[in-house]
Amino acid sequence: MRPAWVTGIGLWTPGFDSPERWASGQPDPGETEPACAVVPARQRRGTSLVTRIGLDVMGQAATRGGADLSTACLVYGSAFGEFRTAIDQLRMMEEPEGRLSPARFKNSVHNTATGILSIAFENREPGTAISGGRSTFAMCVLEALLLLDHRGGTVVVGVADDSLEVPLCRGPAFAPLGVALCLVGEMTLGGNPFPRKGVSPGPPSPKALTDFPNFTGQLAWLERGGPNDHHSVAEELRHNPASAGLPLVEALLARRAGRVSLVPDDPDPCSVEVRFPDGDVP
Amino acid sequence: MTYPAVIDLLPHRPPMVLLDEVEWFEGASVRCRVEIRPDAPLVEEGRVRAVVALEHMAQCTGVCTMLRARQQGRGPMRGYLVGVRDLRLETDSFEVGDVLHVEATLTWDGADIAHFECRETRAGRQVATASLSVYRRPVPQDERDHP
Repeated sequence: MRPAWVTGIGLWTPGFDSPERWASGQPDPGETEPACAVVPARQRRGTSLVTRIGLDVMGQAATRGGADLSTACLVYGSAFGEFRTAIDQLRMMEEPEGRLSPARFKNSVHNTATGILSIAFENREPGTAISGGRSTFAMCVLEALLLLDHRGGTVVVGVADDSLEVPLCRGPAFAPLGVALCLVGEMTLGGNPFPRKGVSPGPPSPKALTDFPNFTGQLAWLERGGPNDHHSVAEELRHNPASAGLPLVEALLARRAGRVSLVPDDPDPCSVEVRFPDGDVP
Repeated sequence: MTYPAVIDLLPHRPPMVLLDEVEWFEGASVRCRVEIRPDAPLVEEGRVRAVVALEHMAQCTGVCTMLRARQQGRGPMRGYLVGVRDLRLETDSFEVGDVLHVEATLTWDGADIAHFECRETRAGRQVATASLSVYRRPVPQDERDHP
C-alpha cells in the first residue's frame, strides 16, 4: 500500500475551533458549537451535534487541503454514531402520540455526515461510514489509504464522537471531539510524479507539493507496532474514541517524524509512520 | 422448577421463536435451550450461520425481562435491541442437531435502557459472547387489551 500525503487537518472540540488552537492549548470559552460552514444552514437542520462536528472538521480539512468536495472520496467514522438520535426517536415513538420527527429520522443513520456532504456538493464518489469502537480512527485511516491506493485522487476522512448516557457509553463521560485529515494519493516532489494505478476519476494529473500551502506530511501504514501512549491527551477527551487521532494531529503539526499509534492505549496498536520528505523544517 | 413457555413470554410467533425452553432463571440471569432443527429458520444444507446466536441472545434478554416483570408484578414490556458490542463468534456455524444453551444476565436496569451480558455454549464450550443494549417500555394497557 502506497503512502498518502496529508494536505489538510481539521479539529473541533469545545473551546477549540481548529487544530492550531488546540495545539496552542489556549481555549476560547465562546467556542461551544461548530461553525459547520461547509454546508448551508438548511442542510444541517435537525442534525445531531456529532454530525455537525463531523461536517465541520471534514470541511476544515478539505478547505485547508485544497480538496474539491465534489470529487473527493469521503470516509466518516464514529464509534457511537447517531445512537443518541436513535434512542430519542424510540422515545418519541413510544410517547402516547407516537410521532417521529421526519427531520431527525432522516438524520438518524450512521452515514448522515457523508450523505449531507455528498448532497451539498453533488458528489458521486464513494462515501463510507465506519464504526469500530476504539479502533474507529485507525479503521478510517486504513480505509482512506486503501481507497487512495486503489483509485488515487483525494480522500477526506473525519471521525467524530460525543458521550452517551450510561450504560450505552462505558467508562467516564467525555467531551465531544472531531478530527479530520485531507489525504492525497499522488504528488510530485521535484517533478517526479508517483505512478498512478488503474483508472481513477480523481485529479487529471498528480498535483505538485507547492500547490498545498498547508502541506503537513506523509503517512505510511504500519500493520502493527509503534508507541501506544496517550499521555498527552487531556483527560476530558481521552475516553472519546476520536481522540485516537490526536497524537497524529500533534505529530503533523509539530512536524515530528516517526511512528504514531492510531489505537492509543492498545497493547498491540496499529500505527502509521509520519514522514516529511520535504525536510523537517516548516 | 417449571417456567412459563417461551411463546408466552415473547411477542414472537413461530417459526421465529428460536428458543425452545427456559432452563433456569434466578435474580437477573436466565438460561434458555435451543436445538437447531432441520426446519428452523435460516437453516441451509443442515447448517445455520453462527451469527444467529445474536438473535438467540436478543430473545433471551426478552425472556429475562419478562420473567423479572412477572416476578415483580409488572405488566409486559416491549423491547428494542439498540446496541451490540463485543460480539465474538468462536465458530462459523451450528449444525442441525446441535443443542445450545444461551444465557443473559441483566447488568444495568435503567429507566428505559437495559444492558445484558450474554453467552452461548455448545457441549460445554463457549461459542458466542456479546453485550446487548435494549430500549424497553411497558406495553400500554389498551394494546394489552387489544393486541
